[in-house]
Amino acid sequence: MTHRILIADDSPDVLASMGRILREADYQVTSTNSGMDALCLLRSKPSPDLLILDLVMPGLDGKAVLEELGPSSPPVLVISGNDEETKAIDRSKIAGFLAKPFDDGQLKRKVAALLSSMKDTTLDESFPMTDEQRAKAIERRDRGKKVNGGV
Amino acid sequence: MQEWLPQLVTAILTALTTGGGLAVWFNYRMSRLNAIHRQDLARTRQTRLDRADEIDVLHKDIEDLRTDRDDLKKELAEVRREFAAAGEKANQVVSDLKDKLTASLIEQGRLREREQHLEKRVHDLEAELAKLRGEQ
Repeated sequence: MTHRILIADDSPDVLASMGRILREADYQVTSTNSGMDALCLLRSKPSPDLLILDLVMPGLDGKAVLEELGPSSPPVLVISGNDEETKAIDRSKIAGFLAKPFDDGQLKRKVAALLSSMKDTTLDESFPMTDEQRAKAIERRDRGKKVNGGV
Repeated sequence: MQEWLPQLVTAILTALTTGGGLAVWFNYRMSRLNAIHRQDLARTRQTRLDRADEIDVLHKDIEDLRTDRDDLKKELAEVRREFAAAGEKANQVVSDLKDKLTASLIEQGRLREREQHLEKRVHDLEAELAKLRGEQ
């Protein structure tokens, strides 16, 4: 199964290079240079399996995008070259972190690790669940995110 | 002439002389005291004037210092603004460079992989060619 990855980064160079390398690694990649577009794309169907999010972007930045994410959002891999911005984010909403500059190997390993770890913990929205089951599933998934990621 | 008359005259003359002397002395003392008092008054007036001048000068100094301080405050605020702007600009430059470096590193890795893939393909083709030549 091909995983869908959404990349949000305001740098065209980073978007292009990450898009190329992940496509060549057989991922289905969508990219955007705006936080607002990223939120819209997250709500589209089929939704991405992983969001790679840059923190510093003009307009709606990565932090604002993180705040808007709900429990059913995909895991988020935050990428940033700004240490101050990184310290200020809500770590509970992050599945993983990569500090810029990083290379192709680091990126591919991190993406593969996050996607493989979410297999058992991702919520299947099409599966009927009671509120209690859903709450437990969300809790389990979020716990998995924290274990696998973190800044 | 009575015997006591010269003594009386002497006594009167002595008294007059002494009284005059006292009067002269008293007058002298009074004028001296007046002079001292006038000198004191003049000195006090001068001191007052000096103090007033000194206060004026100090007020002027204070005004100048306040002006200098206000100027320094403005200068400091300007320097702070410039510092913040420079910091922001430096952060932006560093961030842009990190973006470029990330893109370059990823691209370099991608090209390296592509090169390895092509080298392997060339190697495979060469092996196939050698095999074909051997068969011929």
